[in-house]
Amino acid sequence: MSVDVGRTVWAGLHLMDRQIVDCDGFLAGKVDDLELEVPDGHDALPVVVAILSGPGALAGQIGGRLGRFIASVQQRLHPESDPGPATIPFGVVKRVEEHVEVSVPRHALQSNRAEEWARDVVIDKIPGAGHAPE
Amino acid sequence: MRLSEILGKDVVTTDGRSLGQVHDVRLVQDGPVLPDWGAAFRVHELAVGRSSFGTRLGYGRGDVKGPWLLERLLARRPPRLIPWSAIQDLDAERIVVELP
Amino acid sequence: MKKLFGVTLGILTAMGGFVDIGDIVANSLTGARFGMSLAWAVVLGVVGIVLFAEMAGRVATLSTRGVFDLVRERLGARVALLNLGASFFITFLTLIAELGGVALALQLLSDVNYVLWIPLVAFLAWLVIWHVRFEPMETVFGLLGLVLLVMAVALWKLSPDWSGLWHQASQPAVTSGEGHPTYFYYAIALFGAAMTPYEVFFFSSGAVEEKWTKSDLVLNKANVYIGFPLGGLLSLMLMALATIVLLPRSIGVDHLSQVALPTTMALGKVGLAAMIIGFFATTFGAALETALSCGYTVSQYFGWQWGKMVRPREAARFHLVVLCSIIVAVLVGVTGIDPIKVTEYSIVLSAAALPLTYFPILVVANDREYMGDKVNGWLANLLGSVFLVLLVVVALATIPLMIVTRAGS
Repeated sequence: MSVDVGRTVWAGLHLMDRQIVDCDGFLAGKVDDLELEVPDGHDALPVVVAILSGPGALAGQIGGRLGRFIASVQQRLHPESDPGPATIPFGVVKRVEEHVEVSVPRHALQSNRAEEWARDVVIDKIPGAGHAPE
Repeated sequence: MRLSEILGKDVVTTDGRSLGQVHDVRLVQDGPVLPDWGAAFRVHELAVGRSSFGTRLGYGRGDVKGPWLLERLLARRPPRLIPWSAIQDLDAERIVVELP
Repeated sequence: MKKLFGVTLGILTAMGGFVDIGDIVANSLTGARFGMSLAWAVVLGVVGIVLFAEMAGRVATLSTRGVFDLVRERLGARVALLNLGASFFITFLTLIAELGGVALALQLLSDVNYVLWIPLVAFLAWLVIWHVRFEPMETVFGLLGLVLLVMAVALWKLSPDWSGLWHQASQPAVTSGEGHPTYFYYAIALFGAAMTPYEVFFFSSGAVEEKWTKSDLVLNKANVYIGFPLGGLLSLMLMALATIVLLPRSIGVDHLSQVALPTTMALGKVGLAAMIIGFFATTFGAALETALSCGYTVSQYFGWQWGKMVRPREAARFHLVVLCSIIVAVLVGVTGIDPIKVTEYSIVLSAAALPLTYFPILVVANDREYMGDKVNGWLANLLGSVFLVLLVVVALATIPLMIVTRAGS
């Protein structure tokens, strides 16, 4: 819940490329882009409806050949045929400060799937993965 | 639409004058209420100007001050603020705005 | 009392941790070819790393964010990705060099070819990263590296012409038979060895790993202001020993055995043993630091959970990057590529890439949103600006000099 209605932020400076932190303090990706919706009507202003995070969104920000390459890799690795970037609806965003804090654990975010893949397929297979370093 | 489709895009006036690129977008939290969040951010203005590198680093708008050398090199004239309502056309190549 | 102990420990760790394969090779090699006439480049490099490591440590402590996280935020995704590509490549190259350095030290000890040692060394390094907590890991190898202080004894035993050495260092002149381009090429190598980017990635991420707070900023200052210059002194000892023993005999440096030779001559087997232990500790410690830095830079750019403060399975992609970096480094290492040559290229290319790392740090150190009242003072900004200009000049000069001198040959 946000209290300071009417607050002004610079999207590029204060939101884009900022760190996302989950409710347990784990780092959960970057703000790779913002989803805007332009309502109908003559003087309607675009509304920021969601944060986009993960390679699908990053590709758009990088642009050019490299961006297209990142997008194609993401599509190939993703289980769905036309995945689109992972979205984080503002409903789970708790605070926008130096970082963006969400109110759920990171595994509840779409953008965390690659982390889970790395954990399940590789890291958990190695003995000691669950131990805190001694 | 995505924000990255706006940032960095060339801006021209209706009579064909180039104003530079979109450096940043000013959001105000005064939009429709989103569930569990409150008022949504809405795009109010575009910051438009030339050579966006210094702006991106935070010179001129944020809390970055000094060192002198970098300020001299990077802090250009503050970008011009153009209200969203001035946009006449927005396509893949550029944004056309009508200035009063 | 406990605080004093902590500060002392930090200083000693920073001192031992300062030296790595790059410093070892660059200082011995230049001592053997140019005497002490390039000592100024080491001093300049130490001032530079002190200046920027202090800023990076302060920034990381107050923002609790790694350097590359902030690099991305400041430069934007696109420019930062190019920066990441260059920084990662150089750090990875340094990882290969450090693993090779450990293997060369073990070859000195065992007469078993270094290529055979590389996979074992790499596995050990990974095991330490996987199991050992951050602080003991850093402290053990930092302190063990202090065995290199045996060089001070060796220097004293060899009773060199101190005023002659001082004269060479204080009134530098290009050695006869060497051209100016070669002289400056090696000046850049020494500079790059002292200021290697991974040191900043590691040092600042370490501040976050150890959960430093505002009250630890004293520790940051002590480590950097005292520990790093003392580490630089170790570098200069390597150079002085090479000047005294290797230069007059026209012995070049293409293996660690020549680096150890002066100390061995002065102190016999004990000296050699101490040097080997010192080589092992410093290069192994640096192998850990570079491998971790590979993971730090990539993870921080993408915003993934990183670090050893959480369980490996909670930072899965970070550990995956570290693991893959080590595996690929081994694959390159066992081709029989010369670790000394890899070291030379890694430090020279480091020098060329320095502005990429240090420019964003200087900007963020002036950002009140993160730093509050701990932003840079006027002196830090003045020196930082002077160095930034210097770094850009060095970066622009490196590749042309590399071509003209055919990499210093």
